[in-house]
Amino acid sequence: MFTFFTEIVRKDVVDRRGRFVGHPHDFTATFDEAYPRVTSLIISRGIFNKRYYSILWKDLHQTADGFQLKMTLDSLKPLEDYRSKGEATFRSGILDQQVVDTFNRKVVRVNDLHFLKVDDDLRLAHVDIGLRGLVRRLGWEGFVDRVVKIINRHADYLSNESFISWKYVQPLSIQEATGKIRLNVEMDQLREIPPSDISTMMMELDPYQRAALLKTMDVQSQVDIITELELKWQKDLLEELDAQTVIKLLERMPADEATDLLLELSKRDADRFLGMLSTKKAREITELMEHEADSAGGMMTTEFIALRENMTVGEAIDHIRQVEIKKAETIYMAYVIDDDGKLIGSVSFRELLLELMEEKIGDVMQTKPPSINVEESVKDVAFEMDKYNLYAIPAVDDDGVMEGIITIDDVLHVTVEEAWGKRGGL
Amino acid sequence: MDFRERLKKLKPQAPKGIWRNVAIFFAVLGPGIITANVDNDAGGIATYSIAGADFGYSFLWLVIPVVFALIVIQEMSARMGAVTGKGLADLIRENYGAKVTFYVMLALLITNLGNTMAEFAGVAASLEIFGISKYITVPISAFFVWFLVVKGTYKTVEKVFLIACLFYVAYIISGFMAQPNWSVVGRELISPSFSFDTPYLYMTIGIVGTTIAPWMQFYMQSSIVEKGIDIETYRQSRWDVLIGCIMAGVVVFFIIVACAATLNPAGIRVESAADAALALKPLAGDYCSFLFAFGLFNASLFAASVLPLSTAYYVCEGLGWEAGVDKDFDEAPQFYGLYTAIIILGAVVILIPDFPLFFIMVFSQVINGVLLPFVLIFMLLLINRKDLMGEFTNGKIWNFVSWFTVVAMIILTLLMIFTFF
Repeated sequence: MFTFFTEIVRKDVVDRRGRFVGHPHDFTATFDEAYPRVTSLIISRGIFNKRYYSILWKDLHQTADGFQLKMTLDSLKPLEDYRSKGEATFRSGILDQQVVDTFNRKVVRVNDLHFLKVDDDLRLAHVDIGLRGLVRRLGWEGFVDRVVKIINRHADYLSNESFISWKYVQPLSIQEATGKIRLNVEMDQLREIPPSDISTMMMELDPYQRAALLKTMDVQSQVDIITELELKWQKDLLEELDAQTVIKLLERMPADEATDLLLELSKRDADRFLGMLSTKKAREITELMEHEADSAGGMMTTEFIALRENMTVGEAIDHIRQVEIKKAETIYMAYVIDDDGKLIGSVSFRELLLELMEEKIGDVMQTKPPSINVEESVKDVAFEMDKYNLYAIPAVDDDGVMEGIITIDDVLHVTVEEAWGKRGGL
Repeated sequence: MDFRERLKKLKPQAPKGIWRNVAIFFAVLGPGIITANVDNDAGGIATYSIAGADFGYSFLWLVIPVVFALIVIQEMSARMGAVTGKGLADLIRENYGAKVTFYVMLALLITNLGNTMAEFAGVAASLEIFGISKYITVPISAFFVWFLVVKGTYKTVEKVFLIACLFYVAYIISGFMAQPNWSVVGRELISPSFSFDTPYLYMTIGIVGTTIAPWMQFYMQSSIVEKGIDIETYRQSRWDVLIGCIMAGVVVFFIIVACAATLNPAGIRVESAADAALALKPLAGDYCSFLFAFGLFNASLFAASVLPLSTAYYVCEGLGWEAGVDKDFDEAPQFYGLYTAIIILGAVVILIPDFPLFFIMVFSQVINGVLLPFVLIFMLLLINRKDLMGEFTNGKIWNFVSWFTVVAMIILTLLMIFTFF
């Protein structure tokens, strides 16, 4: 049998002798099962000077018109404030709070709870996020239903319940001691949401929920989510994380993005983090920091695939697979450099796949590939990439030594903003 | 990678000198100063003008305590935003449930609909000075406001509005040039006077209501959250709040002084913008009405751009509907519906022939004053909760000032209703 939270809290609670105790107010539940099972009932007594009683679920009967306790009223001890106990309750964790609807991939607010009663157990089955749930909370459901029926007997309002099965609900306010959000038992749902969608959802949460949600992800997802956010929010998020986590994230971020983020931080924090990073990453970042922000050098990343002229195609593919794939931002283009580090050619991954394994790179590469000087402007980069239809363009210094690459996503970001402006919020 | 900053550098360099200083000024402008400037809207100008014209200097004493209360209350909003990272509507919903939130939002919606009407009344009244009919100005302004926000160009225009707020300097100069009797002004500023007749009570509630408007607390808290100000950076925002509130207070003081020195001795009752404009005569002479019209028009349009949008936003936030101009209509139908309805309703009422423009400008502020204590009660309950605010709950003085405001406003409202009948 199904019943709503709103209906339950209107019922009466009486003690063993039938004396009125109060009304149900809240529930604690165990969230370790697929559908949370209610473990105790919190009763509120009085109107102005409210007192709360917590009763274990096994210490009460459910009757036709409410609940009967197995003890007497006199034996109950009131709680000062049941919220401060730190236990997850429906009111503090779910009802009226924001949750993630992992099916529709949105942050929603819960209007009512839908319970399933099996024998003596009460289990949370759905959350109601619809208008009707809101009307029910206001106590106008009967009235509004009648009015709607007069206007249109088959109105969507009456038939379309906006329920989300608990399976697809990820609560955000129930946090563990570690500051992580307690994952729903069916936790994979959250993991399947693309990082860019999670970033969008994060904007609707408060900073603590943002950090807590981020902590539930693995490091690679965290990096993907963070780099999707605007710099300002990236910085705010870092402030909520501990130094260890920050370092792990910075290590995995593409060097150009990590540089931008560090430049956003205070000098002191940036220096501290730089000191904790691996020498290699720290060197890459420091080099990038030296370039003018608005030059090609400022937007490039130093992580690219470098090949040699005398490698065979087979060796090149092996090299990419074993050595370079972890650190390069893109593998679609590989660049051929000589002993001095000068750029002498480029080859796309597509070409590598189509060529015979024994061919020499020097024979298949495109010689004198389009490149850009590190001093040139963002605009020049965009024009150059457009002209040659490139996904990435190598950046070289005055001697032709290759310093890094600029990828299409970085350029697109600027041009989109130039063309259509930033999508604003309130 | 964020190239926004980089791209800015690619664009032509901003001119040096005065414009560079202006740019720096806007870079440091915070939520507190912006909120305070939106606060001096059509309703505010009308209320202060009438207070000065009809009652002379006798409301001056109210300025200091009201500005003090404003500082305390705005600081509370800023602190709550910084500590919880949530808007006020969110906090009320999460802690007091759907039922309470619905009625608070309903009250806020009705009050702000009144405020929006006042803004469009301000548009109508100001441009009537130039002889342009309200049947032309109000619909165009309403459409302009709607378009501005839906197309997301509001943030750029905001700065233009803010520069135009320098118009208030005209009141300060005019206040001096009217050569009021400064010893009388000084005495009235520090010696409270009070009266139990309905017009005086009505005006008192109006002045408090327009200076400490309920929507400002929602607006302030959301701005703080949106700016990403947290516990570490909120110390700087306290300065921003303080400067904003004092700026607002100085403007209130000089509008009352200028009106009391010019209109009151002449026995002029403010019934149209042309009457209110006479307060600027010592400064602008015969051009005073143009100057006043410009200032009122700017203030009205500025607030009209902020009010419907923010109201729709809080209501949706509290009731759990999607909101924000970055969503399209299908994603956030309630938000766009409410936003459009507030603008249309606010504008249509003003188009009723012979609608009393100055009456609605003041009346909406009185409604603000009546709603204020209820919003304050929720703020006080929330900000004193240890589980939400930790060590950032209110101190004794802050609690005293706010509770005093709550009690005073409830008593004043009861007295007004009681003496009216």
